[in-house]
Amino acid sequence: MPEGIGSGVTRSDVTGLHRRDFARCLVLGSGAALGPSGFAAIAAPPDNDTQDPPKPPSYEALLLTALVQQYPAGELTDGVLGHIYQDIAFDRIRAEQLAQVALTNADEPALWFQPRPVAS
Amino acid sequence: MNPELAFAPVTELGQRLRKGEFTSLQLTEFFLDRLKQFGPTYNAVVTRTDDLARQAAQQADEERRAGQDRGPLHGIPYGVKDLLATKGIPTSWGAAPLKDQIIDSDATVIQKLRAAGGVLVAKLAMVELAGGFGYRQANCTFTGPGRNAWNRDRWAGGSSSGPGSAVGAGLVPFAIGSETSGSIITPACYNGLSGLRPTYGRVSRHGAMALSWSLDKIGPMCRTVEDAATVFAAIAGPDEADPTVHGGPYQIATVSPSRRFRCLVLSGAEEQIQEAVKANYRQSLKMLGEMADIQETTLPDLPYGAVVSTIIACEMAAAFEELIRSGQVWELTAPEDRWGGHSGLVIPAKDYINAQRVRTRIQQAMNACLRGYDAIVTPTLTTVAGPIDTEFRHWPKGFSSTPIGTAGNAAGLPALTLANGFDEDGLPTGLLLTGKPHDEATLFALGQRLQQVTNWHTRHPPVG
Repeated sequence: MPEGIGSGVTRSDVTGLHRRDFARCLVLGSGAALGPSGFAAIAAPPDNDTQDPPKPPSYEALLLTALVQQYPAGELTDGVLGHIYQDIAFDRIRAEQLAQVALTNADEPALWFQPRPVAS
Repeated sequence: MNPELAFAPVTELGQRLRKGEFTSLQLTEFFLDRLKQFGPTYNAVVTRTDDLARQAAQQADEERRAGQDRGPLHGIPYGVKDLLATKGIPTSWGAAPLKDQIIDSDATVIQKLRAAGGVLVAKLAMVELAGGFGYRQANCTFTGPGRNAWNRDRWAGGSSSGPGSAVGAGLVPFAIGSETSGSIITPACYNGLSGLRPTYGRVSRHGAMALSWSLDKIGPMCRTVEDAATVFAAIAGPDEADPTVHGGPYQIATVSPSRRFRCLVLSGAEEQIQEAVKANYRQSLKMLGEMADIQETTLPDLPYGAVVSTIIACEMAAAFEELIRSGQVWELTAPEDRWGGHSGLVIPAKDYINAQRVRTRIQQAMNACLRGYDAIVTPTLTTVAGPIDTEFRHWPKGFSSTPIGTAGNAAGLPALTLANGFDEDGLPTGLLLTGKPHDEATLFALGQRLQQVTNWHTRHPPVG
């Protein structure tokens, strides 16, 4: 069984990729990464007042950029990057599902940690 | 030896060993032959441990002759999912790039079974890396797609596919599997077995491949509930090497034969399930009504799947970061597994923490739901095993975890599946009993009571 699948939303359900984001991701994957100059270009003010201000990359594109920079691999082809982009979008939808549960400050995570006694 | 011995329960094999009808060495040779002859046809075996098995069997025979009895597993052959470390024997985790991996120590479960006199005869096949990378098809391990004991054109289930088909086809008397979310229960159901997912923290995971530290469980896959209880008693209990194990040694509890159980069923449990699964479930509920009071309830409305899949994705990303960084991940068998672990590397930490916070809510809600009851009774899965050559999404009713399956794993609850019939093509269906934390004994008692009035667990495929 695919471990962890069963939320009612599957990765393959995530559709509607923003074409522009996706194209940008592919550019990132091919090496024209959003380095400092790239971010500067995105953040630069428009040339004239009539032009729409440039939009920052999407959440998914930014995370994909970070991923490609930290884990570069020749196997990260355009097609593979598209799959990972979809997975990141799925993970975001899943986080939104979790956010539907109203948690209070007192709701602690089910993490387990116990200092172990030191053997004498 | 009588070929029917291949399908005898552990309890019967133990009795016959004690009577001297055969030796452990003879029994071990019998199962080694079956593994050699039939293992490849199910893609069930990674490594046979012939020499070590013969040594262990001879030792068991010598001990028995000397009057030493290690208990019900003394001299009984068994197999383990190839994610449990075994000294001197490769432990592949089902992954092609790790097929020659040697971990130079024995998992605690292996040590405990050795102490109980068990004879390890094989490391059994599994879905690569226990399925965490999002496989969508049966062809997801270097040993080939796991074939079902009842029909080789159907899937054996995953991720403990080898233990499922090997026990189902009579290649080993019992096996050890592991579950993060569905990996014992699914292959046990598809192959008509009695399989237990223990309470989280009941069985040491030391020496087992970690997919998700806060969700992984180790459990028995057997022919009968009585066998599952016997094996569980041998492997459960404290272990200094695994700090998550809590509670003392497990004692097989006796439940009064006249005890009437109190069970819950879920409204909507019959929706979106295969007709045969529904019919067999209804028949099971009729029998259950003879021994239990049954109330209907609904599962608390919480995002079980989102919680479990977020936790697995994040913990798995940490566990296998090096596999991705090194590039070994691109050598995995299923194409989707090669990239399926990447996105977990960039999930924000707060999403993981929030999943664990919601998990606390799930634990509280499930415990409240079970208060005053012995078990929640549901169909184990919504369908019988699907075709081996078809992606899961193209199966007639798809393939996914059930809400009770993910809820039970999120809350760390024990669950016992047992065969409750067959479909028109002769494929097994299952009944799932989900119980209270640390109350495996009640699940065993209820399961054994059901197996006293049915014979599904005695049926087996015509192998050999």
